[in-house]
Amino acid sequence: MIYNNLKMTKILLNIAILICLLFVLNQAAFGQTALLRGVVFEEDKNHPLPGATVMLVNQNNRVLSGIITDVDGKFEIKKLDDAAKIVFSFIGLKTQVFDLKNNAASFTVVMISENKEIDMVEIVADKKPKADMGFISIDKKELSSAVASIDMEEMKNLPVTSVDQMIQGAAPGLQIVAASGDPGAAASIRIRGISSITGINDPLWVIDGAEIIGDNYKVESITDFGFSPIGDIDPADIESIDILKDASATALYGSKGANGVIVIKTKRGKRGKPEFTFSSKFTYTQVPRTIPMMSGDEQRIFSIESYKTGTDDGSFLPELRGDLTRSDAWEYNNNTDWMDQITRDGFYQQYNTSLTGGGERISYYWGLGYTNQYGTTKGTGYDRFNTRFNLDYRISDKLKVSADLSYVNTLTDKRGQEHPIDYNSAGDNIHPIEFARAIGAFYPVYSKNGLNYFIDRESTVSYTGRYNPLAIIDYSTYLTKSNRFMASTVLEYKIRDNLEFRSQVSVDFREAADEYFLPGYATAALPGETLYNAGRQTDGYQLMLTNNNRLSWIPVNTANHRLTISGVLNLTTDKNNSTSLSYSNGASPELRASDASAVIAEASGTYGNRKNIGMFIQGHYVLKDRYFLTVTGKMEGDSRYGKDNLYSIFPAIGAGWELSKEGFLASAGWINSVKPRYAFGITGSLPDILNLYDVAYETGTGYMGKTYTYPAKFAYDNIKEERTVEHNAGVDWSLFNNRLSGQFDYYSRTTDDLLLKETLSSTLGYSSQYINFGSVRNSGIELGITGVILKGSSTKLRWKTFFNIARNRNKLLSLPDNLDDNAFTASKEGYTSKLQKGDVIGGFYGYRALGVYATDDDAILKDEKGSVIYEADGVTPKYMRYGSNTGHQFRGGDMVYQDFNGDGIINELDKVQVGDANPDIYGGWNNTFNYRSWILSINFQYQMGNDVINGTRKSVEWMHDSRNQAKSVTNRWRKQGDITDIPRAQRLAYWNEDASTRWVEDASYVRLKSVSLTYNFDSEAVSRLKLGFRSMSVYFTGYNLYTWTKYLGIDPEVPVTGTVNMFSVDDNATAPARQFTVGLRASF
Amino acid sequence: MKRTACFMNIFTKIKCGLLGVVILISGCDSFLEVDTPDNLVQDEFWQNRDQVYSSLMGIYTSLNGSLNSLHIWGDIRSSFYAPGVGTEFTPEYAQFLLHDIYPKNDLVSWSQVYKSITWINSFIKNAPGTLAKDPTFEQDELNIMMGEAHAVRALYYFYLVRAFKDVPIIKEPYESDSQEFNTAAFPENEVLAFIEEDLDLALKNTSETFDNVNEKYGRVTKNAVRAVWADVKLWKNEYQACLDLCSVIDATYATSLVRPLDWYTIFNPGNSPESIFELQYTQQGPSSPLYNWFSFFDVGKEKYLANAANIAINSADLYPPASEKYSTSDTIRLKSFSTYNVDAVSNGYGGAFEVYKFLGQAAYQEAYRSPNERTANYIFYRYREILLMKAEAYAMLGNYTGAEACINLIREHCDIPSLQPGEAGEGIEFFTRLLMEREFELGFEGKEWFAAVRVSRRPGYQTVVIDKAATEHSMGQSYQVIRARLMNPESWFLPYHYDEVENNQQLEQKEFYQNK
Repeated sequence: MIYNNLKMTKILLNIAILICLLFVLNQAAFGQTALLRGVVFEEDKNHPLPGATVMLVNQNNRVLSGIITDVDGKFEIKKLDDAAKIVFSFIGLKTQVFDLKNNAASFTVVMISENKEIDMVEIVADKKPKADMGFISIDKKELSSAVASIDMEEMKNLPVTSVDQMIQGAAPGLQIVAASGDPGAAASIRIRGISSITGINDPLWVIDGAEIIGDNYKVESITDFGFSPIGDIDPADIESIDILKDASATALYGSKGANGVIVIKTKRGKRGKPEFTFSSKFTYTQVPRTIPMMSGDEQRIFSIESYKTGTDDGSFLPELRGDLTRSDAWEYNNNTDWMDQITRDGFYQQYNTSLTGGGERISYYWGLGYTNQYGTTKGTGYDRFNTRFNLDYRISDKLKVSADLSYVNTLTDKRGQEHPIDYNSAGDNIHPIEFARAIGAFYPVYSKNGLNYFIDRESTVSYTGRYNPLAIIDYSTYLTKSNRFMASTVLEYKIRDNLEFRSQVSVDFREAADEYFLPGYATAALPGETLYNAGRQTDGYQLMLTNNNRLSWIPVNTANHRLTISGVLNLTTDKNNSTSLSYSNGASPELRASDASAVIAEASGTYGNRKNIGMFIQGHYVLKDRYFLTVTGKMEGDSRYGKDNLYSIFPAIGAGWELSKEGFLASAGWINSVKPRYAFGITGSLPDILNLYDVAYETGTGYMGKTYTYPAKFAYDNIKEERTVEHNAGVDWSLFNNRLSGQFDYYSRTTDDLLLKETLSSTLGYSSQYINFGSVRNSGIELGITGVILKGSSTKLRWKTFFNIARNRNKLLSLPDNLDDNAFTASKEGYTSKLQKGDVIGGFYGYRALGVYATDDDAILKDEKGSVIYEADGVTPKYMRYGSNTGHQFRGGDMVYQDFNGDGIINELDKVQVGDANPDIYGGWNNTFNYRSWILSINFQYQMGNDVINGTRKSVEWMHDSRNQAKSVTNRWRKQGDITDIPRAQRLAYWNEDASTRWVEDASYVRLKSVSLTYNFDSEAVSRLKLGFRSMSVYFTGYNLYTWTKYLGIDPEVPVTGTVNMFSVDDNATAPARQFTVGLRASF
Repeated sequence: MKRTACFMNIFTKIKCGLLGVVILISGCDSFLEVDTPDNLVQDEFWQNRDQVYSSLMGIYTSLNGSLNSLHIWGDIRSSFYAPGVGTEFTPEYAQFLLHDIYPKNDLVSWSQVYKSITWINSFIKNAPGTLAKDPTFEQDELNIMMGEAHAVRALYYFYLVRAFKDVPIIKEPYESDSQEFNTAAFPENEVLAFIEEDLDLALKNTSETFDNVNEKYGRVTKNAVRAVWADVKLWKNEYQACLDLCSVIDATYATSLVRPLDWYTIFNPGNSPESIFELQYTQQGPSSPLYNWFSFFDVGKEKYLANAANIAINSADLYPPASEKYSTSDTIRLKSFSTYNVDAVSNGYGGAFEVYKFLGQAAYQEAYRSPNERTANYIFYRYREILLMKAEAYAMLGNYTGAEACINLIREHCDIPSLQPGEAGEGIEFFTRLLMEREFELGFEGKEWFAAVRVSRRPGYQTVVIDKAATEHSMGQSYQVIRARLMNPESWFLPYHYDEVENNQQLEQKEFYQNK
């Protein structure tokens, strides 16, 4: 930092205390020996200073040799011919340099404390934090675009394994939703809404200046919760996180950065005495809340009622009638709480060590971490070992090299999650949590002899008897193993004072393998069935190599004008290769591999090689230290698009004005800084299709075992990039001696030529094609306020608070006239999404439920005067019908839906928008209290106004078949006149289980995300321990403590899954749990 | 002044820098070329004979992809089908069996078939260009392959026209999103004319036969083209033209009917001497769907069973007095053991049999094929169907004696007593019987509904299909209900799929289905 600010150093020099120098000529040694000798003293001149570094350097400050002073502070070093200077340094003391030109051979040096200057440095550093934009960093003060920085200090006590969970609610405009509460699960991240319907909406991740494998992760994996680019990076290694939000900030990244960029800087060594830090966390995880299910007894009654539409002649389901004299009575007369059976208390431990330090030339950081986590669902776990080594070597004043190395090994156990195998050929996968809700509560956990799990495939009462979730978890194998290796070398060379060259070569290599096996006996499968000894294996790697070259040039640098021009050339190659093998019917459950006896159901693989080239020029101009202008032009090309490569150009411009430096505000002492700024930028992207402009063919093993080829893709001759134009206006302000500061941004990003898959007439041989159509606009505001409410002192309370809020509005501005809305619908659980002009992306449609018909007569149609409408015969009253005029006739106990068009038929035409998955506002509120040695931090996180399709609740309330249902269905309609909102028990009653407002809920919530109390032992107490501790702290954290919500599901933080226009469907994921952590941190 | 100069200087430098960038970019094009592309692009394809051959294999492979659609459209509405108990028999299949089909039924989607047609169109457009690029590629071989492509395209359109009547004709491959196509439906006669055009080209070019046994029956030969064409002629009610084509086929096949006790070799191992064209299944490549469609006792996922009540009716009519020994589920065979289990399966509606001919190891044995032998070929045409087509054509021409002779030829080869002269009757009586004979011989092989429709569309024969379909319905529907649903001949054809009508601006739903 000091190194980078020559100007500041100059000021420092002016005010620095003069170096005290005693200079004694040793006559005896003169001219005869090539040895340099001397003594180094501490400031008071009474104590010699052992351990001080003495170095000989050449003209360019390149180190030639060096030694350390002995216990008496003495040294002796051989004088080398090209040595020009001798340098004395010690941690915390001012470095002193002497010229060797005058042939001095003996030195007595008094080292002076650097204390006063350190104060200065801190102040300066506080004033000039840099915004890390990956390729380039710019002084925050001079920044004209929207960049949010995350305060890592607040985060370090959280019991989270991954960065994405950690930064939730920590910056305005950052929307993070966890995929599930299972260990190792990723989260989805959106910055400023959805701007592409078909493309990717995930941000780009940049670590230490290099792009890492992110949403371009191609390794074929059966992970159902996706790959998180930073999921396997230990939060403990992270120094800072900056989030680039607007197009001017992300312009450097071109199309890759179209959805924002998250820039991570890892910890690096600091000059100073080596410091060894050890920290450890132990976390207890409570079983999350669940939906109460019917007991076995309740379910038996329900089953009999639903079996034949409420008519019971006693002839069916004899097993469920409580006859204990039957030989199978043991099987049907239990009350098993299956959710309880498959859950447990979770436990999670983490250990980290780091060693950091450095001297004049070399500084290093070495971090090591181990995490082990057991999830609250049995058969889920996560295990990670990681290490990172960052080294900086200043070879000379002109040349600096850094070398970073990181390795991560993870193992994820996923038996408790959705399995990658279909159990009914209808695309429904085995899912232990789903089965735990579905399986009959009247079944026992264990078989009659108590030795095995209960599994009964012959039971005629319910097919669920075959799928004992505990047996599936216990008998299966489902592991994901991954290794990730990241390395980077940076070379920085100062060609001239105003010209600097930086080159970085980095590699990110990730290799992953999944192993899945379900033995036949877990589901009582028979040979020949697909579930019989079924397995799946995947294996693959991805290798990404990047090379960034930057030339920065400061052609003008005067008091009033400063111009910095940076040019960056960025090359990326990205290779991946993976295979996946699904098989079944292996000879024995012991042969878990895809051996010769198994039937290979599917073998697939991917191989990819992609290259990308990007270059940009950025000019940054500062006038009078108060007017800032940044202009960027980026050009990029990509091998994906084939030979007719298209180079895209993305321009961006930003301007800022520091008002507080103007004369008219100079008198207002309470204003530290007010900087309005405006930025404009264009980004864009093409769909992720190989050889976009070519007809392409694919091959396979086909007819008679011969290779076959077929046209797989046509040429896109009409397509152009979707282009997002973003305007961002904001203001950064800081008042009352920096006690109140904040950021406010208004943005509007309009994406034109939106790329969307249009469904084609299938006669053309392809189901869909991309077209450019219409536009979508995301606009919103983001506000972050940091306040030091109580200033505090060594004896008084300090209270610092950070509040952030964001609002994003999404609107489809235009769609072409000839576009058929229905062609763009997605549907899930019967709900459909539509794209309509003026509407949002993320709205969904269904019936409006109005309760349940109390009596048969309530379903009779009446005209507006209330008189009964009759059928054509004039005698039979006309009833509401479902689907068509010959469809099901509604009666007492059926759902009431609003008949919007009043035709007496509930059908497609009565579906209206019943929800919008976009939140109105979201953000967080973080507080830190310091009192003496205590630190208390309290963090809230919230999201308001988003609707969720509660698929989990639907699956336990729809009464579709023999599956167990939630306790709430015991309130069902049972006889004429019952007033309730749960319809009658009736199987396959499609009209009652259709998508309606019944399962759409407002998922607003405010969550007390964490409360953490830290005690820092004072240094005296620590030193009294005589264990060599420098500092020590212990803390206690409660995480996910309480959620204020009206949501009826398990947790209102519903994973973002599925398509872009159909997200927010609650689908039996494990809910995030309440966690309690104790931790310890000590440094030596 | 000095500052201005300084700035001028800077701008010159910037200009130079930009120039440098431009030069750099010209070098970047080669950086962006990837040595191993992820897929073959047009420029690199259609270069040699092997690529043309692998594209031809693509055409045959596409038949496998379309098979489910073809089978459903052509067969499962025939009165022989009963719903399976397995998980694969969905309500969409039930709509077919109930003769109550809605446009939203995904099984009416023709997307697989047109996708295959696109592959063929791409072949027909691009393959000839290869000849100039590969000196080892002979014109003759290309011609044979082109003939096969035209033949398979004709076969696809023939299925489409029989299932939907009016369908779009797509002759060109979709190779660029700037191409425009007429995707409106063409009237039936135009589609048939296009089919005959293709068949004409095919007959001129295809090979007489192939040496390798798989290719002999698994690739389209001249006789296969004739068989399709004879079928087309019958659909067009051009009886003499049909007989003319069949007589050429007779020359090769008249002596090759398998002996009565060897009948099972038609299905296992397949490729019997009386085969004309059957889709081959081997250990490699796509797996045969037949086992999973029909196997009940083994896998339990079956879609289809055989309607036991209708089999009883057929056998009572065809072999009086009704004899237990003829009561089988699939063919006019000797014994009941051509089913795995003589006991009917209960599927909740009535008795149903398992269709054994695609499942067993041999006749008269209760043994399923082992997992690695489940490669039953899908037979498109075999000689006994030609005989039955001839019988139909003779009868329409009034030559009932000729018709009975054809039927008797088959009965002899099944060890079943021949018909007495005149026993088969005439008119509706004859055709009702003919359809039964067809069902016993060709049942579950993919075309019996088309045959029923073909007969019933002829003036005066409308009741043939209705009566057969409505009697002893396999899902327990009353005679009146089914009769009412089939009264309008439009109901014999399928609706266009809902999505297709939505996505294809030029296609309008058929009037009959508009309110469904």
